[in-house]
Amino acid sequence: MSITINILLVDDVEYSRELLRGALLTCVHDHKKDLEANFFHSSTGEDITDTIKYNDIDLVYLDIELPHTSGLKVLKEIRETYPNLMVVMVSGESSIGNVTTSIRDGANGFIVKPFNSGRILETVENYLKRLSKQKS
Amino acid sequence: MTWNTSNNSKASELENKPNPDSVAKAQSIPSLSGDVLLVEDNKVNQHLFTFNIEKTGAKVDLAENGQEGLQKALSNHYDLILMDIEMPLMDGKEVMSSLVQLGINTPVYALTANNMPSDIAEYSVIGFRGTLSKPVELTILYQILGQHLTNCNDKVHNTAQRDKILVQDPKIRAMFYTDLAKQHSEITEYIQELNYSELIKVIHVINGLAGNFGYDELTDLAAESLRFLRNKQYQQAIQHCSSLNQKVAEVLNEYND
Repeated sequence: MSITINILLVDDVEYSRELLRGALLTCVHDHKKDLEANFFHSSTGEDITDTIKYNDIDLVYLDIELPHTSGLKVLKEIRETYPNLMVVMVSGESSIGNVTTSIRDGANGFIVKPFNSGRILETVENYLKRLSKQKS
Repeated sequence: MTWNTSNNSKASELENKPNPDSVAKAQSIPSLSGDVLLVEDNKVNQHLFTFNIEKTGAKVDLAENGQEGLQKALSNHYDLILMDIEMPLMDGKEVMSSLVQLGINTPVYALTANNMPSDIAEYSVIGFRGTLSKPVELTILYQILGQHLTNCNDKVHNTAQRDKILVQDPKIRAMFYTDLAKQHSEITEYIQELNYSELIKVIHVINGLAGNFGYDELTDLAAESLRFLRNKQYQQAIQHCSSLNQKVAEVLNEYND
């Protein structure tokens, strides 16, 4: 049975979003033949819960360094409404402060730029694992 | 054969003098490929693990404390992680819990002299795949490596570096160069104004993504500039920002040619 994932990319840098989208598409095509992905994006993280609601988002990749706010604040906002939605933090640096705050506030993953395809694939696999656990 | 981590002279003796035992065992060293992250603060252990793992053909990336181990595990994809428990800054148990929450599925083994059944049970509950008791037996180390790395007779080789994405798509590359030209002007302007906070923002973007476009040198220069800016060592920071901007100009010139 084919699975469709609605993925939200939150990042203000367009080519960074495109890069991640391309890498995710490659993962989806190369490794999971029965998987499809729809992509949505936000450049600012504003009104995040509405974006998630209206687009029925399953998986969020959330950049920490946003222009007017921090992805860590956006994560908190998401968690108030969506405690179980899978959120993967994205950052140019894996500073320990950001990593520990992400863990404390309930992030489910953390990937670092420049992107590594093995790590990105791991996040997709983790999403599918969660999905099969929820179903069983 | 084992090595004793508490005795430096004995440890180096083991490595430097090929005793008959090690010669006899040489036949049993597996031929492997793959990437191992070694998280270990003790210099002797760093050296011995690296030496013995690299003999198989596998690559070793070293993290000298728990924090660095966590950062490396998030940035790269490894086939196996070997991690000490007692470490400064962040101990092995804390790192393991973080890796579990952040969905790192790489098998992690604890390296420890705490080998009471209660310790081993605790490590297993936290998420460690297994425990390698110190002093480590080489046969057990090789057995674990063999379990998780690729045998060289197989054709598939997996390396952390290979996994790094290099963007070929001309549309995305064009976006990168357009932004880079803008960033070049901004860096020039902020250097003149000594606007350090804006310099951090702009250089941060270059630091994050230049590597995916084949410009590791830009990433390195950006990282150095950020380090000086954040440490408020402004004189060095401005020098590094200028070198970075010079390199950015070269990259843009090459692209425009």
